[in-house]
Amino acid sequence: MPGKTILFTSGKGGVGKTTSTANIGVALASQDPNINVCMIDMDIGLRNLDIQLGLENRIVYNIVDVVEGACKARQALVKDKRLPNLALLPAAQTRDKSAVSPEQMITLIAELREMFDLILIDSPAGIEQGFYNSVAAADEAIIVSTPEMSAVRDADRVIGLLEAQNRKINCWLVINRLRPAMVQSNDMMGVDDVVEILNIKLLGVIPEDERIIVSTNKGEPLALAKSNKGNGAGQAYQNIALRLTGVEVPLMVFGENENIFVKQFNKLKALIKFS
Amino acid sequence: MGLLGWLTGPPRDVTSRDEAKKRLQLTIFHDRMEVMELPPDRLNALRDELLLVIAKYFEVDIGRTECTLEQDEREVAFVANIPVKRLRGS
Repeated sequence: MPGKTILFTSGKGGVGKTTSTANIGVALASQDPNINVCMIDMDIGLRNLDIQLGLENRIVYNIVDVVEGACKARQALVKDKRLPNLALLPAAQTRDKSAVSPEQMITLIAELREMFDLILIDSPAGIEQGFYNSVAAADEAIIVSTPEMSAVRDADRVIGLLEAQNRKINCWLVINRLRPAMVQSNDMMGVDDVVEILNIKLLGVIPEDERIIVSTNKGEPLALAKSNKGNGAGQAYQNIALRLTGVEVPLMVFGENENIFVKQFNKLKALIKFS
Repeated sequence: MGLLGWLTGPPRDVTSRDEAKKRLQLTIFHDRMEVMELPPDRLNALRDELLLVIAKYFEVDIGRTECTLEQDEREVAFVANIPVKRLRGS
């Protein structure tokens, strides 16, 4: 069966598209050695997926070389040493978004679908050509947004553009960098607020987690860490990967250090406030 | 502050979370309109033209006519409420 293509997009930059692509990619590959996963960095001119994955020193060819016929797709793929079923097709760093066309992407993805079960496309920020190149062959889209106004607004715009495509692209929402304590004190929009505004299916919620920075420093996506327990970002990414393969995983509950009595008491307090 | 005061806490102010949500909902609504390229004066023009056509068939209560754009899930709907007095003879 030809592989499925999932697009990661957001409109706004800096919300965690590349981090999410890297972590969900390694999580998918680590969960099942029989699933072959390919990640494509479409941020031509500003590549970063390689560095998130710790594969920056192993790049020989890139996506522009492939579409221009300078090499075969197989030659440009960088295999991950930790996960033999994971590969990266890097972006070119010296070219720009116009170096690839949507038609070339459709041809390239058709070839990759024969080699991989899942193809994850990391789209660049913005809604210009790089975005349309990334959309050209996508079956599904994961919209990454933080619970901030500008990120949600841009996400809405991107969802509108995806819905306006001639093909039906299944859209999922990932809320990134949620700060449960701030939501609890009503200083940040919560999961329900963002879902209500964007009105698309929620795939998962990633809490703000300092370990993401440390893992990126090392080039080892957090989802790979052995110590992923509880309700950190690494586990949240693993859960998303499970959901993508059809496993039902309940949404993480944050703020679990509160005991049940405190929670019930707060509920009671809230009830009294309303009445 | 007595026990009741402690239980009920300080009066509920509008939180920055509520404010963000409200501003965002309004902004996104306007964004969606703009994408549909339908500024308010175009909406009024649409209402007037629509009334002309409807008035051919019905006697309508123009004063109580309401035309708005409403948001339904991810779609924007054009909703016209035009009270009809009676059918016009053909």
